Amino acid sequence: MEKAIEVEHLSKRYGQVQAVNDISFSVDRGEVFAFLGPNGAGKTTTVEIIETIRSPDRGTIRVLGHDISRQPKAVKERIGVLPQEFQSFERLTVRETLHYFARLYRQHADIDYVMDLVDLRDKAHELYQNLSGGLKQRVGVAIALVNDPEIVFLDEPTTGLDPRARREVWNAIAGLKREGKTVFLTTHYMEEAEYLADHIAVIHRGRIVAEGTLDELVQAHGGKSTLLIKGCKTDAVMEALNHKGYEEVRASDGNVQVTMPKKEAVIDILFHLREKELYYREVDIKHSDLEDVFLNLTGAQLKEGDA
Amino acid sequence: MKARIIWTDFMASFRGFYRNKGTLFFSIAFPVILILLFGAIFSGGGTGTYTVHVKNFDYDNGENMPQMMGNSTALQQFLGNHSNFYDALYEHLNQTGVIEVDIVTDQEAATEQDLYRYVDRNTLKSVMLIPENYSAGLAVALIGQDARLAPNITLLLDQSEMQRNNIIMSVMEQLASRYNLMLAGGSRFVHFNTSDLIQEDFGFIDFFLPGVIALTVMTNSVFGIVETNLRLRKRGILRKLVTTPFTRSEWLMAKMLYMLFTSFLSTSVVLAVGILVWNISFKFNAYLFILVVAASFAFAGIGMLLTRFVTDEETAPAAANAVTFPQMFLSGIFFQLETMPGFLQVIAKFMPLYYVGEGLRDAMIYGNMEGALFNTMVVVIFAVIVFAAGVAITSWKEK
Repeated sequence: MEKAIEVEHLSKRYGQVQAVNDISFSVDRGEVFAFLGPNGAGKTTTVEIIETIRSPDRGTIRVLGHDISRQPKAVKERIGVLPQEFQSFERLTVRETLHYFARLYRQHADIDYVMDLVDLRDKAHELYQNLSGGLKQRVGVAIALVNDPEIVFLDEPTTGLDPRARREVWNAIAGLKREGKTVFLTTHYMEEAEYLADHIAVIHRGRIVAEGTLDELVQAHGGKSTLLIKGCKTDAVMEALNHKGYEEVRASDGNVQVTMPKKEAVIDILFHLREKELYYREVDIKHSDLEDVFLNLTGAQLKEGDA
Repeated sequence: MKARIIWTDFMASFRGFYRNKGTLFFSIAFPVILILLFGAIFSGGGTGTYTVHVKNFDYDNGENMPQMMGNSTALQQFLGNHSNFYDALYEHLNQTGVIEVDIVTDQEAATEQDLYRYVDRNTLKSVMLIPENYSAGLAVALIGQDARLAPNITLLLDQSEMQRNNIIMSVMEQLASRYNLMLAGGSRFVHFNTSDLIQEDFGFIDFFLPGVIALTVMTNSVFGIVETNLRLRKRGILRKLVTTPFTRSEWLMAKMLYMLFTSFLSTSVVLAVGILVWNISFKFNAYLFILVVAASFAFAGIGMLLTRFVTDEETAPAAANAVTFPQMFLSGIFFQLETMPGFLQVIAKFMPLYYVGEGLRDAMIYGNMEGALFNTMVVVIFAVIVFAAGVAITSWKEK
């Protein structure tokens, strides 16, 4: 598949701090690519270099086939950007704001169409300063779309939003995917990456530590799923499962926790307990997620920042 | 450079301008309040009396008039209980309650040349000049019933004192009408010619108004650039614009267009208040335009330098204050430089606002085109250097 973005050996240093350290990755056209990492990992530096906001110390970047250091103008016409913590002109209406940014480009999308895409038509005449946080971010996404870009960069688009507003922005981003846009999303919310991304790169201390689809990452780095059997005869259940070949089985407070080699093992376990007439109150399954992936790869918690 | 993009950014700034009450206040209401307040305090305006200095070269003193006119009853009525024409005239003037007559003696000025020197030396604003043989000439005209033979009394009026002049002229005209009615049934035998006096000592408001224009242009430009830069940077708008085809030079051009708009708007408002409220008479000329444009560029350049070196959101406005405040008080905007200690007068000469204020005064008020040219050149050269430096170091890109 044709690449939308190709990054090779990118490095950037601020004084003594190596913000980005020799990273390489690529983004396919039409996919939602999530750049996942805690605050200070190097996400924004990387994306701002690709967006032409910053200059790299080393490395080459091609966007839609254009080398960004040689053909920045060609790149700027074809990308749409929502910078981190972006707040637009407070005393322009939504329509005026979109009109302003649209006129900066040689060609631009129909403003009404863009407002419909992010469900802003009924707010067209509201001043930006009077909008809620979620609506402001949707205006930010709309601004990133006014030139009908092939690639949309969204840098931490939901940071600081409440769950409802976050969901509104997610829906807008999901709409972009349906439109066939390539979306480059930086986030430190694993749920955001899990919900939206086709392809995830995990960055930690300036280096990409893992890359792939969600399933690939969880399979490779997430660890195994566990089944918690609550309200049972723990000794009998442990004996039955050990006899069945499950080695990682622990008991505590009337519950039994068993590590499963694969997700499908849950059926095998529950069927086996029924055969042995071993009853229980309820079961709970915990699958691995990106948090586990990040923890296993870096020893740090994603939510708590760069430990 | 694309005009469409520059215009788009200008219009966005303009909308932000008229929708922001704070900006409107500081761009328009603040200079208006300043000029009204300081004008009222220092200009000495009001409804008091105005001294008219009278130099009478009619050494006959009008004492032959009754004899010449055959004891005309009209003249007797005019003279009342006075023995001569001028005593009656002076009393009539004093009785108006608006004019107070002050006689210029022969010791003070014996000839017309002496008089002009005396007027200059004492910076007199209103002088009545009665020519030699005026009373005899008037009597001859009245006897012959030929108003063309009547000589003129000349009023020398300081042209910078429009309000004062209007009041004095109004009183004089009324008095002349009364005399004409009394002496000649309404024919225009008594009338006053006016002549301009150009005085070094203009009223405070004449001094202050160009200063307010200079001050407003400075604060609009310095704070406008600093505040705009910081706000757009803080809100991520500059980072966003870097990713669009909008170039840095187009953006700077758009911002300067907006700065010029606010500068000219403020200037127009200050001038309008000066005319409507203070009756200021000033000269429109190219220097006014060039100085406002050059000052806008110069102070915008200072704003750019400040925002490049002081990027902290809280420190930058303080730095802008540190640059503008000393100029405000030491550049001869509120107080004449001559009233300050010598070393402060030297310091003032290093401040661009001083040359803007002086240039505007020379061009608009004093009519000193030589001074206007010099000050304008200083401001233009300073503007070119500072603005070029500002443009050179203003960067959109993050480090």
